[in-house]
Amino acid sequence: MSETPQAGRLPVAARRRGIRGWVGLRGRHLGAAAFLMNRVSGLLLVGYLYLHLGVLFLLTRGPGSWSSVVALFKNPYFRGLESLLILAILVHALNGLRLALVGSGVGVSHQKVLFVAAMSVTAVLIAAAAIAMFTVG
Amino acid sequence: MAPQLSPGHVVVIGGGATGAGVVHDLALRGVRATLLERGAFTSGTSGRQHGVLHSGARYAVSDQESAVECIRESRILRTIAPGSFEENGGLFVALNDDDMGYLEPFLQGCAACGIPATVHRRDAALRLEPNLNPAVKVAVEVPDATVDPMRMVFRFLATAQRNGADLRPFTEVTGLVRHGCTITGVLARDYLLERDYELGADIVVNAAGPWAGQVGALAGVSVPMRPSPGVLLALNGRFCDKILNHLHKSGDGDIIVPQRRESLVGTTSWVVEDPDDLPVPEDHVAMMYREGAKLVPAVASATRRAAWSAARPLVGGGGAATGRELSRTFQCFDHKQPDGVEGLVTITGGKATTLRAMAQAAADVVCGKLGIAVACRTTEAVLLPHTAYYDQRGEQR
Amino acid sequence: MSEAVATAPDQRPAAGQTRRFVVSRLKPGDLRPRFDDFEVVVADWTTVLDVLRDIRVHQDRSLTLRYSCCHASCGTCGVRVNGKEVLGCVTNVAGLGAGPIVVEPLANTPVQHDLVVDMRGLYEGLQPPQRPLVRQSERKRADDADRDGAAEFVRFEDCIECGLCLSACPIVGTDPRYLGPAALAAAWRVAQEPRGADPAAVLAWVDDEHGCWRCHSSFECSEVCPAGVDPAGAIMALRRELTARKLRRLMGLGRRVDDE
Repeated sequence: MSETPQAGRLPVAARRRGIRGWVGLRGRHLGAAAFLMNRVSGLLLVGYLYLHLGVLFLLTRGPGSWSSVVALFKNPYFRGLESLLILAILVHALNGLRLALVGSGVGVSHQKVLFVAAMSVTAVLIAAAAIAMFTVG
Repeated sequence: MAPQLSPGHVVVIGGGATGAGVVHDLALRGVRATLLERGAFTSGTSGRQHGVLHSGARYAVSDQESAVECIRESRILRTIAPGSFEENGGLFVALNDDDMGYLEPFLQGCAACGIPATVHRRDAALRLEPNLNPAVKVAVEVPDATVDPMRMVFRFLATAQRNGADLRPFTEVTGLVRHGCTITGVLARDYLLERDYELGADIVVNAAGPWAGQVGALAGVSVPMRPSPGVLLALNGRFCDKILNHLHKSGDGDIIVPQRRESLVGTTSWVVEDPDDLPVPEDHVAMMYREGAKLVPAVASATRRAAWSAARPLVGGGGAATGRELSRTFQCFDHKQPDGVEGLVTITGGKATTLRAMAQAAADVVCGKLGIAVACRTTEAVLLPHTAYYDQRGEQR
Repeated sequence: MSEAVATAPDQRPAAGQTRRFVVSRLKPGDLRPRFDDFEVVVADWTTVLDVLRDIRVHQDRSLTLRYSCCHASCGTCGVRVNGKEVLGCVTNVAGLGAGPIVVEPLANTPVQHDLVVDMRGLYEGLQPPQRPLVRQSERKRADDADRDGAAEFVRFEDCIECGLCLSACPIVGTDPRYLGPAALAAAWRVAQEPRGADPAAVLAWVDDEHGCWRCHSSFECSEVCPAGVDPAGAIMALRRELTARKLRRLMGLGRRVDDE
């Protein structure tokens, strides 16, 4: 019989796709894009928590630190990061609502419409939030 | 437990329905057998058929020998391969007065061949199959059944494998080794390891279906094959639960077979020299639509899922223009007479419904030549499910 | 009365377009797949499977691939074309856009050679549901009395065991213990139509962190399924069923799944 290599010696490329299967969107559809966006936004939110703790830590250095923290908040790059945070929250929460519905067996056949709706609401709200973020104060 | 394997070795060429049946029969008799197939099993032609377990009614007027074989073998297959058939039945539908003229001979033919037939008048026929052409006059119900051809053949392969047969797909026979007048083995090309090797055999069985002529030529013998392809059309939508036939002398596009959520309309017939590279002429596809719509008007607006050609392994002398005139029963040649070549047996012709009988004929000849006096058990041995084929293959092929 | 017998066609359609196909190749012992380029003339209705068979017959007989029925019934010709899981036999080349067409084997399972993959994972997953290969036909008849009292008609299961869903699923790609869409869809079929099998045992089998709860709703399985099985819908239906049973039990209205 043919001498085939043992399973353990087969190249990784020949077995499970791993994370490449999450990120590679070629040949994939809307549901896979939503899946990826939820993971990315989730990671961003986790990252945000550490940043948030870091920022709060700045405040523990006494009353003098207040002004420097406020100045930081007004920094346009920081406002940009905050906008990104709001985007991540919106994407994760609104798509999360879709997942909660669909995962309970409700509206499964409308999952694409639900995704488009969630992203439309996201687009409107992020636009409003970004405008507020960059114009107020 | 595997039966004691004989010291003799049989190489079977061709991994379609016939070859699978032969290795299964040989393995049950304890004969050591190797099956060689150049591609995937059933990829040659067996997998492409509409998938009808014939009651024989279709041949009850024109070819009663075939019809009797079918009703007998279809009952055996139901016993040895339970769960492989939809017990949907077939209807032979008369649409006009010409068809009605065929009704009496048809019923007489069925009766003569022992094929149960029930006549339904128009209203009953339309209740059974609401999508039938409302012009239906009568419909005769017979015990045809829908089969999944690939999976049915894989049951034979799985069982043969369990009983010790060596199954080698992706292995092409490039030559037959001949010493004087005796075939002593085959030259095989393994497409996995990309190497050629010689495989010794006491008997070589040529079960290559439409390619049996080409395999015979490798040994310098003539096998009078007339490969006869036909076009099949798969439409989206399950328009019937029963297999619908037009009640008339066999013609083109006169059968509709439900296969899961598709309806298969077939077929046509012409003769070729080379069964590789079969065209799918669009005028044949158009004819399938027209003829199919006569049975089921909804066919006319159905969307096409697939259209393909499949070669029938017809065997016979020359002079046939369409292939429909050649016998559909099978033939088994021991090339010792008249070709004077020892060690080579060809089994060809036939149809999937009679694969077990064909295999028995070939295995009987092989065992006779090897001096093995073990009786055939394939009428009783229940086959493993097709999924068992994969259980045992490991990392191999 | 039949029409005139079709005339024998003499050759393939002469007119056609030349397309470039980039096909993954791997033989036992190779560490990495390589890609071979082939140019093939295609016509209006040429499928990817037609092309691969043409390559094998005319250009490279060592190309190995599985196929059988040519009409999406056997499920053996699954490949990835430009990244998407399809059955080659019903994938029209004309519908694939311009540019080279990349053909690779299905993902998430070991490649045995060229476009042939190891199907054991799929079949092992389908074992526990003990899924009968039949389902009730959708066509209900108002008057079934004529059919000898048989009130239903059974036909072959939709699932053709092609494995496209497993290749497309991102969770199958990362979690070796995930039951996967094919097995879960089969489990749902048993729950809907037990036909002698035990629905309670099957529901208990999928009620697991690596069972129906492991899915993360990418829906790719249902997108690629060629047979209309809708595994994603089946997974959500299983969750709905398990949740409903749990709620009923909590409210004292039902029994535990494994009490039945």
